Amino acid sequence: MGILGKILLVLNLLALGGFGFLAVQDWKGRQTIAAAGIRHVLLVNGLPLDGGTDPVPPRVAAGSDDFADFAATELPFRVEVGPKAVETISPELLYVYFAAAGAGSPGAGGIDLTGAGAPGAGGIDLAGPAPVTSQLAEVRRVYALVKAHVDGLDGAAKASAAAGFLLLQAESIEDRTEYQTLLAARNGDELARRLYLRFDRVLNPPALPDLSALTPENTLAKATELRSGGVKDEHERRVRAAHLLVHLDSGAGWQKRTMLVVGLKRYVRTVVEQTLRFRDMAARVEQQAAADQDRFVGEYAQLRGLAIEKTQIANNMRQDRARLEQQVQKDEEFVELRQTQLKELQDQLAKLKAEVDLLLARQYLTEQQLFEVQREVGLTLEAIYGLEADLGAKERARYGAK
Amino acid sequence: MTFLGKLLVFLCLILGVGVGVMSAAVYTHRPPWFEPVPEGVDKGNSPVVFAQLTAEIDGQGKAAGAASASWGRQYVALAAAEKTRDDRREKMFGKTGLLALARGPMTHKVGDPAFFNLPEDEAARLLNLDDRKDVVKGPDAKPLQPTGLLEAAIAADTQTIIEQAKKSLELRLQQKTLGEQVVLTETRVLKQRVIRENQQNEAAYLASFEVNVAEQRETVVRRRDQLLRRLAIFGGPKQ
Repeated sequence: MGILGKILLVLNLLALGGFGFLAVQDWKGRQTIAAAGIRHVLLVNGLPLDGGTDPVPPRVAAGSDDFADFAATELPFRVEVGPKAVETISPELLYVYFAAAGAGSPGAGGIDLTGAGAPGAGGIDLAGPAPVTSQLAEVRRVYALVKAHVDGLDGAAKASAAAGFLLLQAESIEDRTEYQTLLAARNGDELARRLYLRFDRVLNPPALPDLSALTPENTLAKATELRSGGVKDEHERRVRAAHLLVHLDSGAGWQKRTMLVVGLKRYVRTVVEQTLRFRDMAARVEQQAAADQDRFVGEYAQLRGLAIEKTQIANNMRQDRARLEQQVQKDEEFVELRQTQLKELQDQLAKLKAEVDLLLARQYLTEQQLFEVQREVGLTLEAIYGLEADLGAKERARYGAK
Repeated sequence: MTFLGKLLVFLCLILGVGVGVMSAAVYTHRPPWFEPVPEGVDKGNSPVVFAQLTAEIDGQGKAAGAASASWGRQYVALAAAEKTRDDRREKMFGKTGLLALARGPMTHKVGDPAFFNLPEDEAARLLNLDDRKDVVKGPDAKPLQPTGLLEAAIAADTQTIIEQAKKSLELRLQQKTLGEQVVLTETRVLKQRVIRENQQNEAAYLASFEVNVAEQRETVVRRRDQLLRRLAIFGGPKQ
């Protein structure tokens, strides 16, 4: 081989190395751009509903010994990017993606959905940058946190915590009123059961009910069962998962994380749908307030009529009572008069009796005296008769012979 | 040129063609991330470019902000409606509400108003439950009293009437008894008077009789003394 051949050989080898380097750089650049693109797509459309590996392997800092293995790890993760579908991603992509969620701490500034201190999370921090590979994985993660927190409480604290997660979830005024009633009754167990049911509806949706047996007559009766029944498709599961996640907590950190999980499109749609539900609920509450007023007006008018009627009766009764009291007073006076009259008569009688008794006593005494006098007269008369006889005899004896 | 040289040239040609093909493939299959937003998109395709995604994220971000603000406003409106309803329910049906006042709480002071003509807010079509200036008057032109209070008054009056009627009946019976006693006592008084009169007559009679008897006694005593004196002439009465 001549000197020219050798030089060409070396140049060819250098060109080969150069092309190889450029190819590697191109591949890396494409990977970086693709990762950025996927993050954009995820932010718009959200994570896949299900699948992936949980938990995501722990993050390894660049430059560490295990970084090469970490960077080479591929997680199953199907996401549509344009006409193509990405089947796997690096865990680093998820860590970078979720870094935008911030450090959490509900209610710590940022967007507050309520704007007026609505019930926040039930007392725990659901937010944070921990990556998940799917929306259901996020639901499972949050469910574990919520369940551990709520089950760790009891009584009023449990009711308050469970209601804190539930109140924003209500999709109708009936549900919301039910939750408020349970909260007022401090029924923490029932509130917790309702809360867990919402998670279960997303994680383990029951099969669709059999509609073949429905008739026009029993459709209404089974409406509730149908409404809370299974989901139709993946879209509905996404809707339910988004609704559940968005309304667990109104804190800014959690809302940001929810946007990352369900995607901006779904987030906006969910918030708008719930906004419309809130509007309907407010309208229903206003209707109920009007119905309350109608009921009040009816009862008030009835009581008013009754009060007028009873006022008339009370006035009549008062007059009757006054009349009767006067009558009783007169009767009492008459009785007193009679009693006085009787007493006077009794006194009079007693006096008469005393007089009569005295007269009788006097009469008796007089009669006794008269008896004595008459007896004396009788005796004297007897003595007179004897004396007369004696005198007659003596006179006859003396003067009869002459 | 040796065989090795020819082989190397051939390999270089192959590599050159390969690199050229690869370069062409890399260029033709370059990712469209940085391309401008396409004017139209075929059905079923959703070309992905950063400009489009960024615009969508910006748009959705603004929509999210607006939706969140609207959500907050509606939630505040809902909470306010609920609070208003709860407050109104308390004012209407609560323990210290208007219906309770109309029924008559234990603490109601007699004479205080219990019913009001509540004005209606024309805009809200709701009664102003706090405006209690227009007091409802009863048939007696006084503030209409609570039904409970009136019922209690009626019950108390009824009880009083029953007691008074009973008392009146007892008094009537007492009057009757006293009347009978008066009549009886009057009769006895009259009888006693008759007795007294008879006694007095008898006493008068006895008095005159007493005089007669006394005179009779004196007469017989004088006769006896006369006889004794006459007998004294004959030596006195025989023993």
